[in-house]
Amino acid sequence: MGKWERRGRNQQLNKAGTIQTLYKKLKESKDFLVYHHTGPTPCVISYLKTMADPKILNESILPGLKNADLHSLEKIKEAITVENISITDQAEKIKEKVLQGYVVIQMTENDNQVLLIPASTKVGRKVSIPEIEFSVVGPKEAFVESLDKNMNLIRKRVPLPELTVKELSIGKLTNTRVAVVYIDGIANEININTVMQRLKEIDYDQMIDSSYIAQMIADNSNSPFPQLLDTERPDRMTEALVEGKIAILVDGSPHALTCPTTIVEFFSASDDYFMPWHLATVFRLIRLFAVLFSVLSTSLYVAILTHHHEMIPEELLATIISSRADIPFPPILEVIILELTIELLREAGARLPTKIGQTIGIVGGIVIGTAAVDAGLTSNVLLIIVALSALASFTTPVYQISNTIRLVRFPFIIGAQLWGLIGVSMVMALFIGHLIKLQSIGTPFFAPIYPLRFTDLKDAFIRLPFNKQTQRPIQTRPLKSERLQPSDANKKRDIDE
Amino acid sequence: MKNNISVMVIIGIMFLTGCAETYSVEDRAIIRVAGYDFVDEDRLKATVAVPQYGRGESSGTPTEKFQSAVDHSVKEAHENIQRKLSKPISIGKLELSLFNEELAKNGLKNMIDFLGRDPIIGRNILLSVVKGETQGLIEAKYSESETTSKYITGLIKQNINQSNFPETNLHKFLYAYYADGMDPFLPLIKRTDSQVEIDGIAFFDGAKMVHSLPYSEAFNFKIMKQDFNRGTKGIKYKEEHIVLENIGSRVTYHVIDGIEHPKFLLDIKIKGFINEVQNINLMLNGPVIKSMEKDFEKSLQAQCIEMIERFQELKIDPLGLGNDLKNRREHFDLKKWEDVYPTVPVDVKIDVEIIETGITS
Amino acid sequence: MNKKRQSKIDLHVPENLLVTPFFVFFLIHAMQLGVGILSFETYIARDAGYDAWISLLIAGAAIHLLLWIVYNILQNSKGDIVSIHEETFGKYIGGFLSIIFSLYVLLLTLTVLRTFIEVIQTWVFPQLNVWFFTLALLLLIYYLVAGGFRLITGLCLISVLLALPLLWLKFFPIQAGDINNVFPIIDHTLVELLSSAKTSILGFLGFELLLVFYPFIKNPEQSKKWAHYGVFFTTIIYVISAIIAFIYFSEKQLDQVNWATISLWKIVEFPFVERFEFIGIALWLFVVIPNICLALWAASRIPKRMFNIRQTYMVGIYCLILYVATIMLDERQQIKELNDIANMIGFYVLMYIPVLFLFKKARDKVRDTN
Repeated sequence: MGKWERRGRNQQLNKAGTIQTLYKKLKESKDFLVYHHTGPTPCVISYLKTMADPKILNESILPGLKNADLHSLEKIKEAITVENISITDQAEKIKEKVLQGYVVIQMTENDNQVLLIPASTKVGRKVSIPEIEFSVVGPKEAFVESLDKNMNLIRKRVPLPELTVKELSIGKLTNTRVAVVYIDGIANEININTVMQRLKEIDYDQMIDSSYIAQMIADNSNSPFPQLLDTERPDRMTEALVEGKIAILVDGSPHALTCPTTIVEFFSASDDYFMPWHLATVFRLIRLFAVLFSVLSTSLYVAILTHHHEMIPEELLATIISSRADIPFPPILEVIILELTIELLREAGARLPTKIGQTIGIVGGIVIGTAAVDAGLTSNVLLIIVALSALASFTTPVYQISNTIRLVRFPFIIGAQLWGLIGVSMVMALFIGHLIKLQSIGTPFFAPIYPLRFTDLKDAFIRLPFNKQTQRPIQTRPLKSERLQPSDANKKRDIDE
Repeated sequence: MKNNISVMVIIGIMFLTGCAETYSVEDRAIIRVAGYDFVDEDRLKATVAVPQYGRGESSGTPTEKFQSAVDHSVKEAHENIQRKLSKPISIGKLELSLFNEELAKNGLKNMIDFLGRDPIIGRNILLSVVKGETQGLIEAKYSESETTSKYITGLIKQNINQSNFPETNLHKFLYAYYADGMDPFLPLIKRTDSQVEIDGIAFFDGAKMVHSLPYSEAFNFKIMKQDFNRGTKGIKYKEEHIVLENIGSRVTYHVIDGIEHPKFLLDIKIKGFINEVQNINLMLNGPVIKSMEKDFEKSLQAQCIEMIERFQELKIDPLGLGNDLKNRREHFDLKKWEDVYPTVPVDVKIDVEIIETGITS
Repeated sequence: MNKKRQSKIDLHVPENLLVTPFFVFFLIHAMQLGVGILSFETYIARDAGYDAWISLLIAGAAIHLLLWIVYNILQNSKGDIVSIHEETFGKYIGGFLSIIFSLYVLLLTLTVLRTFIEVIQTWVFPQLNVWFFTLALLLLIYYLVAGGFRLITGLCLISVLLALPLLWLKFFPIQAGDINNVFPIIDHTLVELLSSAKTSILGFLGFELLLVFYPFIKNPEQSKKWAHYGVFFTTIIYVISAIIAFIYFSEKQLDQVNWATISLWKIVEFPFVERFEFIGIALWLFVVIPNICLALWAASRIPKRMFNIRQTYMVGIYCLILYVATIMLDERQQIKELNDIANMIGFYVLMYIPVLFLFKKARDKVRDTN
């Protein structure tokens, strides 16, 4: 029912009427000013007070009108020293521009011909340092809510005429500007077309953030895994663009999306490229291990304690048994209680202001944890495991995937309770199957593991030095795959040569 | 969306059936050591030690409770023990299984079948024959810081790894038990008041214990049985007692001649230190060391040959000569081999090399 | 173009569903390596004793030959088993043979599934709730098979990647074993070796599924070498496993052991984990699942090709059959018989491949002279 009503209203809202009906509608708002200019050139100036920049109005437009004998809009256009002035009589265009903060000049109030003067003012924060994808070394700029500022950040890094920006407006009510950015000649047209096609098919009222798009154009929207990588770092996005990937920016969202992407990309941090390759490789492997640990540790705890205690070596056995001696719950309940507690702390921490959030996290962790152990509700061995696995899930450089990891744990725990290690294996098989099936903008998501692409493995689990990265990843099917000519510097030299 | 519904249904079922009776690790009576005593021809007595782990005392050792029961078979005896316990028995972490000498002499067929068949039992567990009652040995308190099972396992293991006792565990025992032309052996331990000690080696003919050697001869047996890098052996040298510390002994079996009239040569090479000489006036120079080596060789060779002859008399083959012959010569016939074994010539060649004499000369 | 060759049913497989020739290696290898390797040592040693590793090599060579024949059959026809049967034996006999083949593959699936559940019952959960576990496992398998051939190929790759590290564990039994056991003296007659080779060859069953998935290979000519590498790799793994089991067990002892490979895992110990057989069996699921999935896919693909029914339905029906059969077979002895029957039929199928080759050759000749 409600859906039908809404659709009817939307159609009404989008209908382009005449200028008169538009003005009538706009005048209902307090901030729409219609001002009869008197003096040598009488005309009607109207604008949205909250959107137009008074400085442009006062310094560029009004002084221009002081000149006498400007009797047509063309004359006025010449007199005013603001670029991009246009004359139109299309109500649709006028509506769009007025809402963006343009100043409208008519000769008389009922004139259909109007002069549109760009005078929008932009309120927004300045470019600041990245908070979610923070890195110690490397660039410290992060995207902001303004699409134009974000484009500036990218253009600055890729001064290329081939850097192409396609713009669409999405959202029936919000008319949000969405930009698709890629490097022409590297990015594959099939991918570009897929993205454009999917963006055009979006039919929704509002487009508040890029994560809306990520969910709407994902190949499988029922998957817990994000299929578009989201980043707030222009440098990371540049990396993606030069690899032949496509970026999507949404006005009003400080996060850009890049696609196509692969599962391993979610575990590579921008830090990996700011460090020597061996260090980067070790840290990346540690991160991957942390992810595995985070997903599997609690389920292995349940599996081994419930079903396979023969696997515990003698020395550990005493520790585990004595720590669990008086716990009233079976391991599965113990684990679920503790995992939920950690999730609770995390949610609370995320909703509270930063400073308080951190305190809640630490205090909550320590106080609740120790109290639970003292009260005999959980064993301290499990507390250590859960705390470590929570910590490990924070090591993922991309926020979206860490949410996935939080969720994915629970099926594993259930599997472990049912059939021990075999249950864990079954859930693992389910997820691996799912990942193999998954696609990111029509390209396999589980690459370079399957399909096995040896050349792409150079920057997957390990990161080889830059001079070995001679090819752009095959994953993106780049039009030009050669990144650099292997030079003589790569040749092995003998001693003393 | 059909998928989602079926997934929900499955998860629902999982939770419902998932609540089947499971016993978490702390709710089980985890048996580390079990002993079996001879009662009469068809009954045995099983004794087990169940550690009682207390909360929060990970530093202290758990106390142990002991239970024993008499019945016809191992499983039934365990069932009887189960009746006296509040927690289900778990035999999966068993690491030491003891049999008293009388039981071993009557044959361990039952035990071998039980230990070999149950998949839950590890292959690295230790078996041992006990002089006297195993019950008394298990129930005695030896140390404040160790449980009985840990104490005895540690005792046997470190003697295998660091000293003169040849390698043994359940797998080795089964290997020799089933193999053609090979007989198993086990450690023989005994309790002396407040402690346990290795008394010697128990030798089996099939599943029956038929012979034992004192611990003093373990070194000789070990150098013939396997390569190893530890152990000490003392001999008389010109009225003095000198001790050889073995740092590397290698043994090779040579089969000479065909399957009809096989001959064996055991070629043993020992490298060692001299670390203890009772008469300090003895100068350890080249010629002396050479003659020491000779004396070692002679005395070891005599002892080894004497030991093998004893085995042949008893028709047991713990060295696995028959197995070796089978692997190297065609047309091995077990029956025929068993007939000729007592008369098969076996020669031992020993080569001792003393490479160090310590930091005083 | 030969009009006769064109089958009624369209064989065209869309480009994006094809797999590269390289993956044939994993497909062949993953299909051959199933539950058989967990227990084959005992059976092959019964005839040829510890010389059985020679029999394995003979069996491997025979499989290479059969693979060559299979490729020959396929290359000349550009189709799969259904179209080959149709053009060689005509619509009715050919169709009948195809259905027999489909049922044979289903039997293979059942054998692997039931035997693996048996392993779990023996080694891990004696009180396993079989109906419920099988239900969950089959639902998982249905989901994976529904993902199509590409997904199954991916699983084959994953299975090799996950199961390969298990080979390192073979170091533990080598340390504990006696190398003398495999001293190369040939103490067995050729008859004994061949009889053991016949037993060994059953471990290599599964490569004949190539007859079904051949049209899914991109540039199938290039896949030939990868298929042979796959068979070779399987042979190597079998030989290594056999030799290590022979080193570790004495001959009579091995005869007593039902699952030699799993028994070998038992002695693996690390400071943080003991008794590796539980991990080994759990990881073995990744070997068994692609095996079952590929076989089920192939079994259900044949009716689809013949009658143009939706493959999803066929997978569902076959899953149901597997489910009922798994629950009905609940005794050790029955499972052993099932294995024996599957092996016997498998052996006849292997024998049938050269026969098919000859028939097809004769048929081609007749047509060419016409």
